[in-house]
Amino acid sequence: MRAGHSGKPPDISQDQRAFRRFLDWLDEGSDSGGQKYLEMHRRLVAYFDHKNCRSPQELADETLSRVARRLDEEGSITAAAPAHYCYIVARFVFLEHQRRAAPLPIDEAVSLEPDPAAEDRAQRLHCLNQCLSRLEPEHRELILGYYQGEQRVKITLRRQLAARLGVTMNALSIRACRIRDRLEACVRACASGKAPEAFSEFRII
Amino acid sequence: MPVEPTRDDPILVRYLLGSLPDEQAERLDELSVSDDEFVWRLRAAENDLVDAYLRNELSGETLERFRTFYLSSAQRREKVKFAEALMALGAQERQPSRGRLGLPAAIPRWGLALGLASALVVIGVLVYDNAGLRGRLQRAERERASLAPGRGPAPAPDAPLVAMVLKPPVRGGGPIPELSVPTGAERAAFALRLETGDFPAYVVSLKNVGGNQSLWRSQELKSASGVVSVAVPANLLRVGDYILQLAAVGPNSEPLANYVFRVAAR
Repeated sequence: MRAGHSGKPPDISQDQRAFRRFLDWLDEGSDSGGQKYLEMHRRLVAYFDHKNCRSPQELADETLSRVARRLDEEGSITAAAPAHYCYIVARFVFLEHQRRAAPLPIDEAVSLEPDPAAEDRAQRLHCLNQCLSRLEPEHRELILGYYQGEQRVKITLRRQLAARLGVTMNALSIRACRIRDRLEACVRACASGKAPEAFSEFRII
Repeated sequence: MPVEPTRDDPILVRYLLGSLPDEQAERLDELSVSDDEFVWRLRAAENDLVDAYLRNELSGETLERFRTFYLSSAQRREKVKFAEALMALGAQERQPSRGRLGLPAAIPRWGLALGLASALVVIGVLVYDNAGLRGRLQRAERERASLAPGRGPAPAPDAPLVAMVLKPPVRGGGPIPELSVPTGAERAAFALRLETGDFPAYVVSLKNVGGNQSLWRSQELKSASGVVSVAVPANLLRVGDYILQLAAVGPNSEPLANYVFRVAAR
């Protein structure tokens, strides 16, 4: 199973049994095949990124490692639901990080990124096409339909799409968001040079 | 929950732009990790916010915060780049009619969108030159560049963008992919899909069809996901047929493939 965007989980891969227990705990009785782990990792990365931390991926890894260690030591964690517990630990990780390093200043953050070249755009479009072709047809249809038009036209089209699918506008927006997320992760992987076979791991939970 | 829950939710937008008071932001931090429904609402709001920025629909303090806070993160800039590509694809879909979608025809046009997207991949041509989109994409680039002084010249204001994907050449030819280079374009970007295994590095030369003289030569390029991407100075491209000749870097390297394309009248 793929562990996270940064590669593998730092410590917990050392102990497969503990990691398995950690996955089960995150799954809360279901079997997501590791998707809950990936989703939590992603939420934590977004949390640390929103806080303008220097290395959101590492901090997310650190958070999950701590939770897994605690679970291994205690045998169970009942003080809070898994997702909430992860947040509590993430907050401590953030506060510790904040004491160690100042948040990334905006200018520095920008200057770390090379100016995007036209080549990047062509590459990204190529990847987007490749990833779109790997979506299930109904998802491809939905995402292309959802992002058609602008302003009033777009809203009208979305209403029509929701009516056609028999869902509320809210449900449609969440559904489109899930597909877009999946597509975005696929394009990111493709643009970073991953083999196309790797894209199949991006599934919707 | 409102019908359009995302764009109209000023709290979520302020949170995304880092302008909520600490106490309120902290509560949303918590929900952003622990509450499934909130997570998806927030992501939908973020997508809408990014799209609104690219569509030039943000203004005032919201626009300012987007530039100074949102674009300060590499990860968030990646989201903007992805949204650019998604919009470019949408712009392509609208190209055949050169106009807005008619509402009654919207549903059947999904099929058209899919067909067109697939066809573009099949024939290996992917061009976007929708003027409105171009402006928005370039604005994003300029704004990003303006936040990072000293990194070379920013793209010229409103310089049109041309991008094209070329598939590996096949025996017996086939239709020559065409592109039109808008007036003022600085570069035309090409993604050359590779036919065979990877080499560590490549160079690409631009030639006239029938002419042996190289008009231009790229620096060393790396491949990614089976594609070598190259940007050619647009002022070299006049109406006519051209070859992008791909070669591996190394002593005595032979050309690996010739990608033919046609520049059509504007």
